[in-house]
Amino acid sequence: MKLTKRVAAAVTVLAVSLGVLTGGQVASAANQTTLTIGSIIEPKSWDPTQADLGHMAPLYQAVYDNLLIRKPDGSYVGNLATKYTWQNGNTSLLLNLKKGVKFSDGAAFNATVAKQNLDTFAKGNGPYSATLKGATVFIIDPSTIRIDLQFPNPDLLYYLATTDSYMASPNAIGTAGLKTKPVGSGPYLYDASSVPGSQLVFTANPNYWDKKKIKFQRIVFKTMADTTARLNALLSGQIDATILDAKTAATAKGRGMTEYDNNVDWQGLMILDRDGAIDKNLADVRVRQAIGFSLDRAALLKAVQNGYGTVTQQPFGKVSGANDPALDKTYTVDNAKAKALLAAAGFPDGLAINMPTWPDPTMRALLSDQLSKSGITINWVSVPLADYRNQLKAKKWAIAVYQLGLAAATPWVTINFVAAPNASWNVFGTKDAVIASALDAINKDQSAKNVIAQSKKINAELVQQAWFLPFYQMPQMFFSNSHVKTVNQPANAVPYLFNYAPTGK
Amino acid sequence: MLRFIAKRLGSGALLLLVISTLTYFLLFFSSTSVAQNLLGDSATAQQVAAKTHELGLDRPIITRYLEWLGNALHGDFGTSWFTNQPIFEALATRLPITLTIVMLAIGTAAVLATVLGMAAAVKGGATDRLVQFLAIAGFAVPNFVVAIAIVTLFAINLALLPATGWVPFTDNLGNWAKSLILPVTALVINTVASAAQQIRSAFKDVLSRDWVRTLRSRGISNTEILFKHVLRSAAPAGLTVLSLQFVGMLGGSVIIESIFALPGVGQLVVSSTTQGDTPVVMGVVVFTVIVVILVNLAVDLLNGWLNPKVRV
Repeated sequence: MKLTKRVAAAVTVLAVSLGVLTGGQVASAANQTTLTIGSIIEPKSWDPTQADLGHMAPLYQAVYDNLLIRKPDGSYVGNLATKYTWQNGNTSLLLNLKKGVKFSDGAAFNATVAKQNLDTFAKGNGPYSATLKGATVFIIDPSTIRIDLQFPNPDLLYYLATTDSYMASPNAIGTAGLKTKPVGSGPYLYDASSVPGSQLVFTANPNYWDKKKIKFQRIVFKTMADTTARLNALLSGQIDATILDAKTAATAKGRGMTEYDNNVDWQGLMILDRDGAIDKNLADVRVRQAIGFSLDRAALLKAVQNGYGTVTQQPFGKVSGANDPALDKTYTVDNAKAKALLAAAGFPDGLAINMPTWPDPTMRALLSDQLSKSGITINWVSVPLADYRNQLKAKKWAIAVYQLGLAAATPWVTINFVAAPNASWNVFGTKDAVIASALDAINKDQSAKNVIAQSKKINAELVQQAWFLPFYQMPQMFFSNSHVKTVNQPANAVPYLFNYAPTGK
Repeated sequence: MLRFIAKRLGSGALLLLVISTLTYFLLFFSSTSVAQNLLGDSATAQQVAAKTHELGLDRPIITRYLEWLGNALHGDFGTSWFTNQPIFEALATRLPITLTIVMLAIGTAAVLATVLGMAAAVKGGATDRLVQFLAIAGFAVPNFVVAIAIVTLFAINLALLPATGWVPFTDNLGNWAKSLILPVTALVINTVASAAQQIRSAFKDVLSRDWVRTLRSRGISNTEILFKHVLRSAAPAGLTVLSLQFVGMLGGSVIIESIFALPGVGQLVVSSTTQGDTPVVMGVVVFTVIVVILVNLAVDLLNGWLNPKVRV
């Protein structure tokens, strides 16, 4: 046989083998009984004390029941707690618990178990354990508990509907096994076919107390860190829904996927060192404001985000109730004004600031250009991306670009992220009289109306003092195929598990 | 032969100790705040300090290293700080995936590179130029570009093969094979390109030797000369290239695993190094070094079998 004939024969054999192996079209994983979600990450631990928000929320919701549920419209409804009642000026929360609920290992849910879970969470040193700090849980009767607060916590309902109240079986609490295998009372059961790092499989709990929540017989979370892999999996029908980004969104939309944009994060400058501990120049509010007047947010949004998002100048998001549209006009681009502020602060010839290298080169080039027009030179200093956040937290940088999930956060979450003296992003512990006064007022009156009123004062002060200079709110871009539909969840990067439903297609 | 193997295994054990020690200390000096990475944006300084203490990361580095080494010598590599999965369990599910892909890619590349290299060296002329052009083209295109192109064509447009994922051999043989075709292809193209060039040069070199001319003058058929004598003499060069590429592929598979969402060691290395998950990184390093030592030993033994002069 000549070489050409041999090559032709080999190609034919390969093609036939391929056909046999593939059996024609790859069958779509999507159908009405299975929901397959492409997830960026997996839970670090199934122990509820280590529970986290965002991408991990739907995974915990599969196997654990919360005491309360936060609906997509932001309201709270009962779950394992059938009713909640605020008492003593919102410093005590009475919770009536559902009777007859069993965990997957057969243990019964009651007030003792609820207290045990909440107490363990508060002591657990997880990412959100501080949100139950100072709370004392009392058992009123076998199906009633009361949570007394030592410190104000206007967001207690929010945390009880998310990280703080995933109820685990009393037999599993505190055991090493709970870290790798969840034991809850949730709508789905962790399936033994799960392979951590690859895919986590959950099957419908046949004994679940609320059948309405089970819209699929099987839920599969495929772990895919790479955005291109998630896009390819979505387009080829291997997954039903996933999160993408500004660079891949157009392709998914072009292929007929349904887009759900949810403003969760904002990106901007964090001026962390307002007291001049490591950069004395930034202690002068006029210098911080000069940076604000140098920023062309619309240009940044267009170049960095392909236009996806909304420009903003304030840390508090629109749904917080403390957002004030007037504040978004505080720092319009005005290089002359910026130069005048710098001159008044003692820098007529401009000044230089050091910033850790933000990974996006477009962002760096634009910021350098925009600030240079006011005489401000940015010295970008190389920092390993993996260490970026840690260096900011370790007080190594006075100013940096960053992204915070506050575009849809509640006022109290935002205050504890950026404004309070011990806030997680007030790393230098800056104190401010206006903020202190507002926090004192919240301490005395935790009604929603007062919290929003005081948060407005804090928001305005943060903008005027230029602690943070947000550029824009940026959407998390979630997509689903025609087999499933979902609804955005406020303040969460991805929809909650309860928000999915089959379309019937 | 046994003395040779024992000597190589002894030096391998020393190499393993040196590399693992260096890795442990490099991780310490370059490492990020593990506690902060575990707790995320919302954590306060007090929480981070408490988590650091909980993990024992506030102890001296020497104490921590000796504890790790002692446990490792007893076969206990610990558990991941980030997933709580025992290291053995994590590697037992991931290492076979990476090794399967890499070994299939190397095996396929070896056959294709030998055929192409031999054809180029023997036929010369247009065939040689075509093989050289293909080799340069294949070498010039990064494997992630190949990966994206073949996914778009075969998985998304033609829907013939899965775009991502891994199916265990035990679940479904056909689906297992399907899940391998695209990632192995993406790895093979680059490897064939460079190996074919090396094999072509080795063949040309051997074909120009006097003893080949002598064999021809004795009337021995071309096929016998080529497959019985020349191939055996040229094989060590090809084997060396392929063994080096095997080691390179273990590292290079990271990108392919990422694009195809394959739960192999590559992705584990990236995530654990980024987060500072020392137990996982150390486990991966130890087992990867063992694999590399064994592969090199196998190549040396094969070279010795092919060419007795090497055994000296």
